[in-house]
Formats: sequence, structure tokens, C-alpha cells
Amino acid sequence: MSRKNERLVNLTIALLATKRYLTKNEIFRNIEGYEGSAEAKERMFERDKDDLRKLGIQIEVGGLDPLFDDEAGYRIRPESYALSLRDLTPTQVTLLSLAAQAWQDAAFTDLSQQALRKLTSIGLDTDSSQLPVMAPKLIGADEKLRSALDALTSLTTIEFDYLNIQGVAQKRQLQVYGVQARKSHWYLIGLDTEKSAIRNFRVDRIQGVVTTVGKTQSYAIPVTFEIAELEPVIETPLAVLQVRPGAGYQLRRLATTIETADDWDLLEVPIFDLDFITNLVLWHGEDVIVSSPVQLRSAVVSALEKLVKIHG
Amino acid sequence: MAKQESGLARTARLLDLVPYLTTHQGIAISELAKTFDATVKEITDDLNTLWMCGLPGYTPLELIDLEFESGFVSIRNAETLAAPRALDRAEALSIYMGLDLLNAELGGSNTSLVSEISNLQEQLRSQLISAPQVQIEASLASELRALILRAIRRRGWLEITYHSAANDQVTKRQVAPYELSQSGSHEYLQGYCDNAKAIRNFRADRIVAVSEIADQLWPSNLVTANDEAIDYEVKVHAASRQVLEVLPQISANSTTATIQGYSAPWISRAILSLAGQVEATAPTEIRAAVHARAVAALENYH
Repeated sequence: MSRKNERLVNLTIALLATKRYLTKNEIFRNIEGYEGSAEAKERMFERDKDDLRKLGIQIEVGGLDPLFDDEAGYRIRPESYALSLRDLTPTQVTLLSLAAQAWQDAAFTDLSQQALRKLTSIGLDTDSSQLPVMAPKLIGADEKLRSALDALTSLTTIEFDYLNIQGVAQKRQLQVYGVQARKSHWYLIGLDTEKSAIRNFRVDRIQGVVTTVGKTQSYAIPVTFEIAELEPVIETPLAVLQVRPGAGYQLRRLATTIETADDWDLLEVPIFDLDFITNLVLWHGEDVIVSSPVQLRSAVVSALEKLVKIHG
Repeated sequence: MAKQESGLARTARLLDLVPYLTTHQGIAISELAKTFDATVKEITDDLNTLWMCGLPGYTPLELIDLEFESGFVSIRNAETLAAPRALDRAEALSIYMGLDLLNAELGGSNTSLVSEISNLQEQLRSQLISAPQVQIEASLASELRALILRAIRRRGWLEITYHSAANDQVTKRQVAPYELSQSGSHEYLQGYCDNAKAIRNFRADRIVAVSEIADQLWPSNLVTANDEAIDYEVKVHAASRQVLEVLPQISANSTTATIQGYSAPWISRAILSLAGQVEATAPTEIRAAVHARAVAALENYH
């Protein structure tokens, strides 16, 4: 194992140091560790190339000279090998370190630690004097999110069981386009391949594990895709609610208008999701009355009737 | 981004050790081991391997020159590998997302930092194939977080304005904060609440405002948590997704459950909000409270 590591490091050094493409023969002749028959060397080199690519090192193939032979040559460009974040100020280094440290969850520590080591290897001092006291934490990130982000970076379709609104798990396939942390939950946004439509999925509603389907690089994120455009902005229907003064804090935060009065305040609340608003109205019991729409009003009334009946 | 098998992980470490050593000449092997999350033996093996590596030719002129017999490491003749490796896509994405959170916490309050962050994000974006969309919302604005962290460090008191969903009230409380921690998908501030004379958890996203209270002594002898647990029983009429999320103690196929709660108003509101999918069967006070509130609410419509 140690010999193989040694060979991989030597191969990296040689391919980085060369100004021109090195042919396989040059590599086998000059780089230590390639031994055995021609075929054995060949196999060794193929595996080594794969391994370096798995580490994210880009090996460039080229140098085909039609006048001589058609043997390919190899090199690693220093500019693709090295960290491209350049001319960083100490404040920027601090910001990057804070960003790396924001991942607290076990599923991400190896990743952020590796990134952090690379950043500290720049050898720049950090400077937090320009920053307010900050220790941001990305919360609730788990293996499922990690698997989804893996798939997002390699553009691989994922498959998982998702709890639908009836509480039944259904198999879904998704090409992840983006990720969102909103209202304390993680969401995956992308193309639901079965429905051929953009959908979002709350990560904690995924049952079991996230698996990949098919090959890497199997899709592209449309350049026109914007998460912000998925936000409901216009023509959301409004619920008109009567709310007791001093009550309904959560509803007031959602309200677009609030008219205060002595007995009941009048709130207009956008209905992004009828079930959500129904439950929120019920949470507030006798402190909230639904004036309109009828749909919401009857949903609340029939829920209350059922509650009275089963608890009577 | 898949977890690398140990052999490749070791190759990565060998490559990453060189730039790190180049900017940290004279570092102790033990410290190096800590930084790279490896044992002293593993790091020593790594150094012995690196010592055999270099440019083709492999004479002392071409080999990496390492000294570490003293337990402190210095490196020379390693220029080819001296630049830190590029972040891979997964690392770039994770940093990108962390920056998005920083940005959200700052909330536009510091324009020069915000522009530094977007500049860094722009640079990282170019490393990600097919740029993914990321949007991170902060659970706590940076100025509130700053005040809380400072109070924890200085053992100071805070007055927090807090929205309690169970009581549907926004109240001011005096709190000696111990820590910010996370549980499930939420972040919590834990501290001694002087109003309740007990240790309380406050959900970070429900903290509306924070201010410091000067010169108040920290509670010396900590009162133990005196929350009285309330065991209640429910019958499940429909195990919908919402039911499983509001009352995660209920499993998908069960028809009854005994659940531990801490606040009677919270329990009855939770049952109300579930719209009859779940019935409170015991204790009778909870059952009666749900019934009474539902009756009162229904009367509003007659």
C-alpha cells in the first residue's frame, strides 16, 4: 500500500513539474514504481490515473503529434491542481474558515476539516477583528443531506422513499438542482423525473437512505433555474381572520395586513398551503375565527366538530 | 465526494501534508497528527513515505527533504507540491453553503462583509460544474447571536423577548444563558430562566430580541430542572405525515401511544391543530381541555 502511495505521489509530482506532455513510455521509464511486464505497467497506470481523478486531480491528455506517432501524453496543469482562491485578505480567510466550521454534524466533518486544512495551508493569518462575533452553525444536516449533496456535485440522479401527506412512503427519483435551508428544515429542489416537474422535498421526510441511480454527470442544471422564482409571489389567495387582540402571534407574523379593533383584530394572511393554515388556526382555538374563504372556514369548522365529538 | 477508501485517503493526506508543512515549518508531529485527524504513527509513516518521493531521477537533489527526528518537522525541496490543492466540488459546495449562512446571519447589516462574501462565493461558484442553487436561512440574526455568545462567555445575564407557541405570548424573560445547542432540526438557547426559576430551553428562531443586563450575578447554585413531565395518552385515528411530525413519538403503524410532554397548553393546542386525527384519551384534564377549547372555538361560528 505504501509503495502504491509513493508511486501516486511521484506520478503527481512528475506530471505537475513537466512543461510538456509526458508519454506513457517516459512515465514508465522515469517514474519510480512502474515494474513488471508491459501489460502490468499499463494496468497499473490506468488504475493510478483513475485514483488521482477520484481525488479531484485533473490529468490532461494531449500532445498528439501527427508527424511522429499517435501516442498520447499526460500532464497536470499547476493552475488546475492548486487552490484557485488567490490574493485572499486575512478577513476573507477568516470568513472561509467560519464557513467551513459551520458544518458541525458528523456527516460533514471530514469534508469541512479537509477544506479547512487546505485553507490553513495557504499560510495566511486570519483576522477576525473586522467581524462581529459569529459562530454560525448549519443545523440538522445529516447523512441523507450529505448523500444528496454528493449527488448534486456529481450530477447523479437520486432515489429515496418519501413520506407523502397521508403518511405513506413512496419511491421518488430526483435530479437535484439546489438546496435550501428554510424555517429550520433542509429542502432539496430539483426535477422529479417521474412527474417531469420541479418539486421540492423536505430532507427529514425522506425515509431510510438516499441512493444513487445511473451514472454520474447524467444531467445538467438548467442555467435558467432560480430557487427564488419558486417562491410564491403573486396571487396567493388571502385568508381573512378575526383574531383576539394580544393573541395569534404566529398569524400576525404571516399577515400582510392587520387592522386592530377592540374585540377582534382583522388579519389578512396569505394561504401558501391550506393544510398549514388550517392547522395554525386550530392551534389558536377560540382566539381565531375564519371569515373567508369558505373552504378554510368549513375545514376548520368540521375539524372542530370532529374534535368535540371524539373528546365528548 | 464519496468517502474514499483508506488507501486513497492516505494519498490525499500525503499530498496535503506538503503544503501544510511548507507554511508550518517546525510543527510538532503530535500537533500535525491532531490537525490531520491521524495517529502519530500514521503521520510518521507518511513522513517516511514522502521522504522517498520527488522528481524523476530521485537523487538527493530531486527528493523532498524532510527532517523530523527531533519530533518537529521541517520540509525543503518540495516546491512542486507546495501549493495547497484545489478544493474538490464537495468541499467547495460545503464552504459555499457556509458562506450563504454567514450572509443570511449578517442580514445586510455589514455591507463590506457582505460584498467580501459574495466575492468569495463567486470564486467558488466557478469551481462547481453546473452551478447549483443554494439558499440558506439563518435561525438567529448575527447581532442576536453575538450578544448571546458574549453573555455565555462572560457569564452574563440577558433579557430575551421570546415567543412561546404554547402560550401564544411574547414575553420578556431574564435568562442566564449556558449554551446554544441543537436538537433535531432546531437550535436552542439553554439557560437558567429567572422568571420560571428553572432551566429552560428557548427555540432560537422564536427569540425576537436580546439585550444585555449589566452587573447581575450569575446563578451560583444551579437549580435543577424542575419541569414536571406530563404523561398523556393518545389514540391515533389517522397517522398522517403531519401527525408523525407534530408528535414524533407516534410510530406509523401504531393506533395508541403514551407520550411525555412538558406543558399542558402545548399538548392541548397540538391535539387541536391535528384536527381530530389524534384523540387525547388520558389524563382527563387534557382531554377536557381539548374538548372545552374546541367547543368554545365552535361557538364562535354559531
